[in-house]
Amino acid sequence: MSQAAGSAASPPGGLEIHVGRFQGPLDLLLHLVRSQDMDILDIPIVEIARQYNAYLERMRELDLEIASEYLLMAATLAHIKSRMLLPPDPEAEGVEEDPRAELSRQLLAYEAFKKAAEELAALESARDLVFTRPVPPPREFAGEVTVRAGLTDLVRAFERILARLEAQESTVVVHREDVRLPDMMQRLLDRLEQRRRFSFREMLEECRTRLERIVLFLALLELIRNGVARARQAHWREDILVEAETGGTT
Amino acid sequence: MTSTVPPPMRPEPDLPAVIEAMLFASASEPVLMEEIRAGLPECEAEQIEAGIEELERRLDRRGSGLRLERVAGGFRLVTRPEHAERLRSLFRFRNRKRLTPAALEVLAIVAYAQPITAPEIQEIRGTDPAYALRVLLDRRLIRIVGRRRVVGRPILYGTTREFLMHFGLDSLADLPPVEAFGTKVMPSQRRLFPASASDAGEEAVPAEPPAVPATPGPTGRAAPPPA
Repeated sequence: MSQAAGSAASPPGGLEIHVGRFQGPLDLLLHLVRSQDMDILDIPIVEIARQYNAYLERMRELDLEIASEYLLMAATLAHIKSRMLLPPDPEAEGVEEDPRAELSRQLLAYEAFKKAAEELAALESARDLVFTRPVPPPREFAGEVTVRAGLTDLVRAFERILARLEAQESTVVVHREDVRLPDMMQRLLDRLEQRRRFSFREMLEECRTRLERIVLFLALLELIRNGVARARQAHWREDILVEAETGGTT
Repeated sequence: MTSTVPPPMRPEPDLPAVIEAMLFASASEPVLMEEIRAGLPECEAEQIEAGIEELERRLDRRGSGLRLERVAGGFRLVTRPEHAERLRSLFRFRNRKRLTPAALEVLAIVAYAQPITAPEIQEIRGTDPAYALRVLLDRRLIRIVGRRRVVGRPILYGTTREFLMHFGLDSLADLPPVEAFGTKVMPSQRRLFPASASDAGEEAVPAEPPAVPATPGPTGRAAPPPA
C-alpha cells in the first residue's frame, strides 16, 4: 500500500506516508513491515528503525504533536537494535531469545485485532441496510416496560440530574449538615411504604444539598443491592423510577 | 371503533402466526425464547422452535419485505437489506453513528479477548484506550464485568447485549474468526498474551440486568414466574 496524496516530500527510503492516518506506533510499524513485504518474524531492525524515525522526523517538520507512545516505540526500537549488536552472552543458559521476538509477537497480535476490527466494521456496514422498528411500545403500556440499564446508565443519569439541579440552585447553604446513609435509606423505605413506585428525580429535588443527593443515590444503590428496591429508567437521560422489589423482602 | 369480544383461544394456535405477532408487537427489542414460551404455555420447546422455522420459511415464500433475525439470543423482524435504499427516504434525519477506527479496534480487542483490562488493551494497541473505552461504555457496547485481582484492581471490560444487536450477532460465538500467527483466533481463545494474562482471579460484578417487567405488556414480555 503506497500512500498517499498530499504528502509533500518523501522521507529517506522513498516511502510515502500519509501523516496522521495511523492508530498508534504499532499501526505505523505494521504498515512499514507489511508495505515492504518484510518478514514479520525476522524484522530488519536497523532498516525499520531508520524508517520509523524518519516518519517521526517528518511529523516534527509538519509541526504535528507526537504522542508519547510513538517516542516510547522509537526508544524500544533503539534498544532492540543495540541488543542485536551485542554478542550473545556465553554465560546464559540455553538459547537466548531473539531481542525482536517480543516485537514480532506484539505486531502479530495487533494485526489480528486490526483484522477483527475490520470484520466488525464490515458487520456494522451490513447493519446499515437493515431496519428494525425503532418505535416505543404503545402509550398505555409505556410505563410498564422494563429497560435494561446497567450501573453505568444509573451513574450517568445521576450525573445528569445533579448537573440539572445545580444549574437551578440559587440558595447558598451556610451550615454543614450531617447526612447519614442509614437515614437516607430509611427515607427511601418510608417513601416506598407510601407509594409502590415513585420518581427518584422528585426525591432529589427535595434534597437541599449536593451531599444529600449523593447520599440519597448511594442509599438507592444500597437498597438495590440488598434486593429491597428496584430502579427502572426508560432512557438514561430520564427519570429513575424506584419501586419495591416484589420478588424479595419488603 | 366497535368493541369486540376477543375470540376464544383456539386449542391449536397457528404457531408461526402467533410468533410473528409477538415479534411485531415487540418492536425492535428481540424476543427471547422464554418469552415466546411464556405466551404459549401449552407448547413444547421443540414445537416453538419448529414454529419459528416455519415462520422463517413463510416470510421467504410469501415474498415478505421482512425477515426473521436471530440476534442477541432472541428473535425479531427486520427489513430485508435489498430494500435499504428505498427505506432511507423515510429516515432522512436518521444518523447512525459509525464507530471511529480507534473505537472499533478497542471494541474488537474487548470482544475477542474479554474480560480484559485497560492496561492489557494498551499493551496490544500501543496506545491509551481510555477515551475509546468511555465512548464504548456510553454507547453501551461494553460494560464493566468485574475487577482483576492484581495491584490496583483494574476494571475488566466485556461486551453487552447491545453489542450483539449493533453487529447483528446471535452470540459471541458468531464473531467472525480471525487469522493470527497462522492460526485462527477464536472468540473463546481469551488470551493472545500468555505473559500478560496474569491468571489472577477476577472479581465478578452481576450480569447485565435481565429484562424482568412487573406486568406482562403487549410486548409479549413475561412476568417472572411466581416463586
